[in-house]
Amino acid sequence: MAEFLKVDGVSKSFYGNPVLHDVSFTLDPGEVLAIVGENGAGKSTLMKILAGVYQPDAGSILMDGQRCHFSNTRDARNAGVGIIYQEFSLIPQLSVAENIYLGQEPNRLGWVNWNAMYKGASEVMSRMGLAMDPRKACQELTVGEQQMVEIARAASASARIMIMDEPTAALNDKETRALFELIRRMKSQGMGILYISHRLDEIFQIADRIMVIRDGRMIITRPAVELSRDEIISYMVGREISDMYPRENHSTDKVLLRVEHLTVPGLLEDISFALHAGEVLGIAGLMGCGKKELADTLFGRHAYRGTVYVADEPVKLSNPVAAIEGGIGLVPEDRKAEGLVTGLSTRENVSLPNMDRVIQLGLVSRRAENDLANSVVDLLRVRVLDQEAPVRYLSGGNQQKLVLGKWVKRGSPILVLSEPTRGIDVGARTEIYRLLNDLTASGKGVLLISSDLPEVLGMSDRVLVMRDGRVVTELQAGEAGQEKVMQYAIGGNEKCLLSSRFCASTGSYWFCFWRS
Amino acid sequence: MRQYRILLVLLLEILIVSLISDAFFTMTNLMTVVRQVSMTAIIAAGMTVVIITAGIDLSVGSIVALAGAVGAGFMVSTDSVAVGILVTLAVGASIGLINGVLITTQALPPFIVTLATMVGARGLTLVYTQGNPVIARVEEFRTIGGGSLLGIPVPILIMIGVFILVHIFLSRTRFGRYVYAIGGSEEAARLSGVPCERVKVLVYTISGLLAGLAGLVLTSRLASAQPTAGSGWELDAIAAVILGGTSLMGGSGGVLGTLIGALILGIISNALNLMNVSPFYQDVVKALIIIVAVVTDSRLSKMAAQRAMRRQ
Repeated sequence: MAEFLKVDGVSKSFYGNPVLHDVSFTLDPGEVLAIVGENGAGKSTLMKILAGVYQPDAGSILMDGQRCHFSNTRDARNAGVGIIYQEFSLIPQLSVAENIYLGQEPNRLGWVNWNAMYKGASEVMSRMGLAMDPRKACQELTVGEQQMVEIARAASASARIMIMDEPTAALNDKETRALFELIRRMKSQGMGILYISHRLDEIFQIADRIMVIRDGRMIITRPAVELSRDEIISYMVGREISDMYPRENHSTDKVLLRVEHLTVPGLLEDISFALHAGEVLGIAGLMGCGKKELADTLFGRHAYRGTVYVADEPVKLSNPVAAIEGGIGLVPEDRKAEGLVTGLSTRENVSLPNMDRVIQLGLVSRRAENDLANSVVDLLRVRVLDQEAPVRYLSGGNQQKLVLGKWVKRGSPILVLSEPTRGIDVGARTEIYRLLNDLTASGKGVLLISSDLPEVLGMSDRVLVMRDGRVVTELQAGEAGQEKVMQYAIGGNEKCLLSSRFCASTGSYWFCFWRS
Repeated sequence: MRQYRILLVLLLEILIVSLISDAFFTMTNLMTVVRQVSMTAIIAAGMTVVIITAGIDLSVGSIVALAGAVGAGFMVSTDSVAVGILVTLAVGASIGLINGVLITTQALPPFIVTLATMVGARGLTLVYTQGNPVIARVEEFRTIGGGSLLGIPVPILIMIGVFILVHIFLSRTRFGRYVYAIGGSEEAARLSGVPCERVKVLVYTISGLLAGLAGLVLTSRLASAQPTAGSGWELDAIAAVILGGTSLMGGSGGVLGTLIGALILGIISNALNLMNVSPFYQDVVKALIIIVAVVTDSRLSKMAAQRAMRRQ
């Protein structure tokens, strides 16, 4: 008998960067196949290929032995593949039924056939065991109910395969249980389900088989009962932390930046710390703990109370220009929207905070600009073919190197890095860590703000843990184990929550399982 | 790249029109075309800078009238050409400054702010002139609009000077670079230390100043300031900018393309006149040519982007 779904040797590259390499797997009817891997491992790309968003460069997709070509999402949908994404895509003002039928409204002579629409929506919902008024506007539903509507929309009458990308990211425990109920129901109706999640707990509850992908390659696919959590994690990571973080110790006693009683009403509460020359000071905490706001405040994006000293001189960080003149450089969290002007070239982006260095006799010197850009490209081994092309065509890792490089050239003694390696491949990460060592060796101070806990622990000399807008503790690199940081970040004695909630709120914190 | 493509369109247009009409490719006619274009081209130079910041300035046409009228009034009452010139430019720059300050301090969309000043400046012109032309028949003043130097009409020289200065401003100065950065991504620019508010105020002031300069040339040419002067010029200027390959989304483009765009539009009008096409049809033909040019250009730039993507 031909396989229900067979993916055979699928590969995909973006802008010359391979994202998927020769991935093959099968899915049976009534089966839940969980797909796990680190951020950027290629999970989402693989799912988008199955849903017709992207077309594979090589390899094929077969359903019931028939080769499928999905040139767009409609093709995939018609073939019976439904997908729900991490982000909700409902239109809040429209009703449940309107959302379910968006783009394919039943019509009679060109007019929307409302009766058919409400009846159809009710049928889909009852098939899924949901009791919801199809006339209700989606904005009046709870998050869990909205997720169900998303699934109802993806599960059109002919859907046979359902892809779920982090479906529980926004759900609470009760809603998650309801979702699993629904998944079991869909299984019993013979649907095949591809389930992507960072939450290993959930995967063991729901998955029949587990596939691990890493750096775009399928590593293993095995029945869930044959795998332990530790095994999965080691397959996902494939390397030891100590190899990944080449930290050197250059810290001194000289204070570069001193923050005293920094308060931003509603965001930050009485934060005090000092950053020394040659030091990497890590800031850890869960999402919403205030670490992003701390970075923004130090760069003059929030009005604050308290005092900030740079080299013992008080500075007023009222806007980014003041912060830069005070000696602070910021590598923002969102490098595409805030780190670089993506429509401008490598040369222009590197020059932007360095105009003083490239202006001669009042005019910009093209030669000085090229020299500056070349020196950044060489220093950080940025892969740029054409320095005049807009930087939006560069990969994330190369873009991030440019953001760092422009501040290095500015000579800012204090660098605030916010999520510097998010979504970046391993090679570029290593280059960035190497640069951190060079910076601290030359006496700069680095504030490393990251949700990637192994990174914070692996690269920092000291770690501050934040929670609810406050610094709750300071740990030395040696004594700061992952569990210990977690306990402070979560707060108090909710230790039992450690595994589930933690991973729930950040995704990339799944490492917390590792030692526990 | 875009500017070379649009230059090709201009050359093609010149070739076609020369073949159709013998009267076109003569020195006198060519000078006439460029002189007619010069005033909207001067405005379009400022508009280019505004549009590169992802903004828009609808007030320039009204500024032409207000600056021209107030300047002419002062020239007559003080009997000083210098005072007249200074007042004309100062009025233009002031309206631009008001635009810039409102847009940055109140965080209002440029479209709304300049729509308001467009209406307001036109209203002020009518109040100031009481609906009558302001006569400014001063002999030395006429050279600005009517004189020539080495056989080239002064308005053309002014236009060339403006384009050279704005080109250098955009391509070779700190603020010019900031203009592109703001249009590309204001937040990224701000976080790279660009004083976005100051740059934007400067940009709208430049646009107002250049509109005032166009008003000065017009007043001088007509020896009077008309309260309805400059009506609709903002749209001609925007058309020239877009034809010249500057994106309304901001972040890219340049003033050389704008000059070519303005010439293309001017030659169309001139050619239609030479061919005795009824003026009623002229705007329709202009509209068609704008659409064809912009559609072709967007297709070509999409292809260029894909090529760039493959290369990286």
